[in-house]
Amino acid sequence: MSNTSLIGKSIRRVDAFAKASGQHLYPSDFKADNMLHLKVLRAAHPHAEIVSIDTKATENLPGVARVLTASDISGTNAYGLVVPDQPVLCDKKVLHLGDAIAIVAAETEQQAREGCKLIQVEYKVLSPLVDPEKALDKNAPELHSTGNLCGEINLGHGDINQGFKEADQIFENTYQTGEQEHAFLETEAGGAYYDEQDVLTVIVGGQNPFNDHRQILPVLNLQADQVRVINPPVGGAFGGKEDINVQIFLALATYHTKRPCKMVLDREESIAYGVKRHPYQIKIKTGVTNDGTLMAADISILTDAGAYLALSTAVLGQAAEHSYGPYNFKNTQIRAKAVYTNNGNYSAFRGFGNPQAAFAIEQQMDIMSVALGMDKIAFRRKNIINSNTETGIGHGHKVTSDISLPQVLNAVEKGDIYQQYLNNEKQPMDRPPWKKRGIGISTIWQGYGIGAELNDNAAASIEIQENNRYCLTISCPELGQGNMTTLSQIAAEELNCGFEQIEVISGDTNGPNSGSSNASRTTAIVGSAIIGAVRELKKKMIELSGVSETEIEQLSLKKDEFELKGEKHSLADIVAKQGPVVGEYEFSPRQTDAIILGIPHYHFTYGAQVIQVEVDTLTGEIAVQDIESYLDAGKIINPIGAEGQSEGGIVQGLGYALHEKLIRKNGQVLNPRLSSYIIPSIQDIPPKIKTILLEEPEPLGPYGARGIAEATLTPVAPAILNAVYDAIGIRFTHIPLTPEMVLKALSQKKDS
Amino acid sequence: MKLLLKINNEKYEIETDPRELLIDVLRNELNLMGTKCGCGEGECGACTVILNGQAVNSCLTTVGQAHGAYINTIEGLASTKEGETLLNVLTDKGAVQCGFCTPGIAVSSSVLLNQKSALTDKEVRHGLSGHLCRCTGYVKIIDAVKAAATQKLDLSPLLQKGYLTIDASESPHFVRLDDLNSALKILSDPKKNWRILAGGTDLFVQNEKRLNTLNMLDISGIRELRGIIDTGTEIQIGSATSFTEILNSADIKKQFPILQEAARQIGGVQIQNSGTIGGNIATGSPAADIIPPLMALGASIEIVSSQKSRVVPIKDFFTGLNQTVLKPGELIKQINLTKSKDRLNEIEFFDKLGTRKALSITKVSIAFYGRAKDNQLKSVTIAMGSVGENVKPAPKTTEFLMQGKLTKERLTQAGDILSSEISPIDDLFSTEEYCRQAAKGLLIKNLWEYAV
Repeated sequence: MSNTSLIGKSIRRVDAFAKASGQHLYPSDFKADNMLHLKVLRAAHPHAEIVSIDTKATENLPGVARVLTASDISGTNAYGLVVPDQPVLCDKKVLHLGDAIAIVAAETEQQAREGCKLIQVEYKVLSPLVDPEKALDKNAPELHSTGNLCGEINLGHGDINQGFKEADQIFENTYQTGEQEHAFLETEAGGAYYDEQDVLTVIVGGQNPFNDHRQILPVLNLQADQVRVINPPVGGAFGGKEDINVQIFLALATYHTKRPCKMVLDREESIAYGVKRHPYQIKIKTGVTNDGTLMAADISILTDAGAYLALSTAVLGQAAEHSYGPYNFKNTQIRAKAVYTNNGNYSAFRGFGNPQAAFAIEQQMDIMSVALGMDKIAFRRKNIINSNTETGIGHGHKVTSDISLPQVLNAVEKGDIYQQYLNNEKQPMDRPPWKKRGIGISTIWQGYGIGAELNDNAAASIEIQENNRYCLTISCPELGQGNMTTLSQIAAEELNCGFEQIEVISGDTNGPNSGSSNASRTTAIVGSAIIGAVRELKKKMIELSGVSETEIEQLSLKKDEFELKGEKHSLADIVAKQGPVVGEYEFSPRQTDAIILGIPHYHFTYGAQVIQVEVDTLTGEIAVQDIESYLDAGKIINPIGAEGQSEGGIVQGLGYALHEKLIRKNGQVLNPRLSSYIIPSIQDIPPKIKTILLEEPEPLGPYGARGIAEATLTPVAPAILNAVYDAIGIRFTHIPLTPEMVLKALSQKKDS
Repeated sequence: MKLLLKINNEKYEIETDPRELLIDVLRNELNLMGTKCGCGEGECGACTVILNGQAVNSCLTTVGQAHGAYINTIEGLASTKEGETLLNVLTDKGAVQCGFCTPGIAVSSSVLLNQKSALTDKEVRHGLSGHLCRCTGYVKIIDAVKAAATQKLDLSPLLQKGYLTIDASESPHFVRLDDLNSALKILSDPKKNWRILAGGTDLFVQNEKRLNTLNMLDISGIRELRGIIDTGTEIQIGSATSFTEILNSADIKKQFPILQEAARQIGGVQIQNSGTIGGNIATGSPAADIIPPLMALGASIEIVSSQKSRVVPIKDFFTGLNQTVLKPGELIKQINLTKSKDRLNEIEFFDKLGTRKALSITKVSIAFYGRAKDNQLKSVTIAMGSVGENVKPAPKTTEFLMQGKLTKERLTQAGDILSSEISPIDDLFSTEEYCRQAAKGLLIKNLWEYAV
């Protein structure tokens, strides 16, 4: 790349100043004349039959314009990303406290809230299923007609029993991860209205306007061109806004009242009813020979799917796929189950099953290396997957994409913290005797993109406009990760124009379908679509210039003109003669054949974290001192953006490991506030966080780029718990690891 | 009620219920959408505005309290050259991802940065302690604010102390007074159940979404209730004195530093700006952080009503969970602390364990005052927070500590006694078992250096 290249430059984000100055309008800022406010009545019990619903009192309440129940739905009363198994408005049964019964549309939010309180619902209360294991009992009530087993995946290779026979040492543990709440600063929110062309327009915080769109249509029996969805830059999502939240309520209310409607969840509603990260129980037994060869891994995964499918089986698949880590276990048995309960609803969250999987396998790797007396890096290095060996999911699967874990391990080894660890420099002299320091590492792989044989296509279009500007249109919304900027950089680079010449439109169903902003995919996959769109645009330019038999490579683009076989043509001329010129392209990323739909991924990125903690053995508090995060970005498009993703993912991982305890009892969240569900504050982050970005190109990524967003979070928890083990010699297998757990274990250790 | 505010240098006359939240007035009536609502309980800071020169949570401020105030929102900040510079630094340094927390952080930063030429990590972390961010991990926010400090921004135009002096205002449900006797007279009317409003940071959280059912008596302007006075023998703190005022008081820093140690850990900066010492005490909560140091220091509470006044030692002030000796018609006038005649060999500390390091609910806290000579402890008072129905002293532990030399072994034994004489329970935030063990831990670690 020349040094005029935009790739690798920390270009200032295009959306940042408007956000910082308070000018950007988020979905929760929606306003329209004659607007109604919506509130939704939710289930009073986590599991019940509905006997009757009486909305009379509410209908007569001053300010209430309309009350909607299931009987007001003329189309299909159902939605779901994969399977439409969730009622929009329940009238027969409720399966979790977030199930909706009625929508109240009123002149003010307070009136809508009051209106909800007056709705009389008679229930036949049923006993809630709150334990996924018990939900599999023969006698457990069936939450769905298909039974309570939401999904099951069985994978493996070799002979597991033989593998353990050949192992010299065997280690078995049960790991448990907690639910995690996304806690995006902007709650679920949006507005809906009929535009001048009578199109029902829904503006909402989401991760894919086309997914929202296709789930709205059948509910209202509308055609595709009668509805438009816009996902503007939103106040955070992290996977928690992939599923429908307020979209259909808004569409329904506007459809029936013909007035603009707005809906914003209170924080309490958001935490009480919104989707969460699945809690996972992973029983893992691993066998190793004394020379450090991984002989066997028997992994049993059990997760709570909550009340509805959402993305539970997709997450389960990713967890299963990653469950043995990026290592060659000669023999594996992976059995994974997701089970329906009445415990709320679980879906996507950054990492998507891998944080749970890595939590288990990376601690097992640590346990084994300690038992063998082997260096932690050397042990991993000895067992890294390679492209010639069948992986632990069997079926002949090999990872044929570029594996850069060896380079990551090399970097970790040379890093400051690991060097400290090797030199036994952990315990500085000036610390009081009750503070113990430890260092832990974890290394991970993270598949990005949606997975085998699922639609991961991305379309993008680029239009030459008057005044020498290009309009880049993509639909994958800006969630805060910076994709509007990064993708514009790629466009400008391909077009050989100034960054300021790019205008980017994103998040609208009026435009090409780029797929979701999820799965760490937008740079890597939508980026490739943009490169294709520029090629298509160049072909058009060649056509329009009338110069025959020209290859794209012969077209040289400059700021406001292009040159073709010695002839110069100005962009402005082309547009003046022909009108806007558009290049559009749909990119299909490479996928492997599916063993199970979604498994495996083709593309992976690799990462590691090295973390130093200090445990206060008098109070149980764990203070993280220092974090080094190693990430292979393939090619860094925007360095400050990549670092920002790393730092944000690390602190979410920190919360996941140490602070974020979601307390649920009988299906109800007991701590649904930001004062009681504890995410890290500015005073909780370590004094040192360092991100080391590697660039081992993924040949199929734009300029070699890989998707890194999720790989920033996945390694944190196991690295911290490995560090705690190093500090105080106690192995914890449950997160969040609270001071209460630490002190209890310390006193038990003392007693024994 | 007609309310007069100056917002972003523009004068506003707003006719509305004074109990309406400032954030709702800004967003719904004045169309100033830059101020965001992230939590509704003063926990996330997304709603931060500058009111009379201080950062406050507009979700915990009524527009009646803002009557006559000079307010700056993110829009006001962005309209100034210096403000624009700050926003550009935040943008350039990568401190903005989803951006939802950014306006609030920019507003708090402007107070923090005003006329500074440098800020340390510690100062920035404290200054932004009332903010939550979920995207950035805070790292680039800290870097950006430190970088902005080097630009020596003069943001003082945003920090004017007031627009109009409104000593008194009245409406059926919201009354502000600057005169104590008038306030007490109003308070003596049992029919209207006046709720005393100083900062409101507890009152509004307890009555979320039903503020329009309360009658509020705004005492924050009452002269007799504000300020810190050194009488020679006593330090007297007006009940409506804010935690920030306590943190800024040289007298308190000199005489009673553990009060500042506690004040610094209450909520975040915005809560400290609005919340008051009297309000904290009046909750009667065992988790009210200002109480343990006051108890360790032997403070007394002066209570007044329209009929009489009385003084109650703080250890007798609480009568049960969230209950105090305050009767209808009474309010706390001031808190009196006797200065020590000599400061010889004083040992004092306040330490708390909470749900996190800022914006935290206390699980167990300890305040300690004593003197040590030749490894012998004298005049010890210990007050424990969050481990009983109320903040309570620890008499058995105190007695044990004052017997004989303080050795490390005796200190450990004292910890065991403390562990068994407190009454923690299992609750949403912690366990009885933990609080007992951790209380012992807090005692040991804070007295360790004094033990042989």
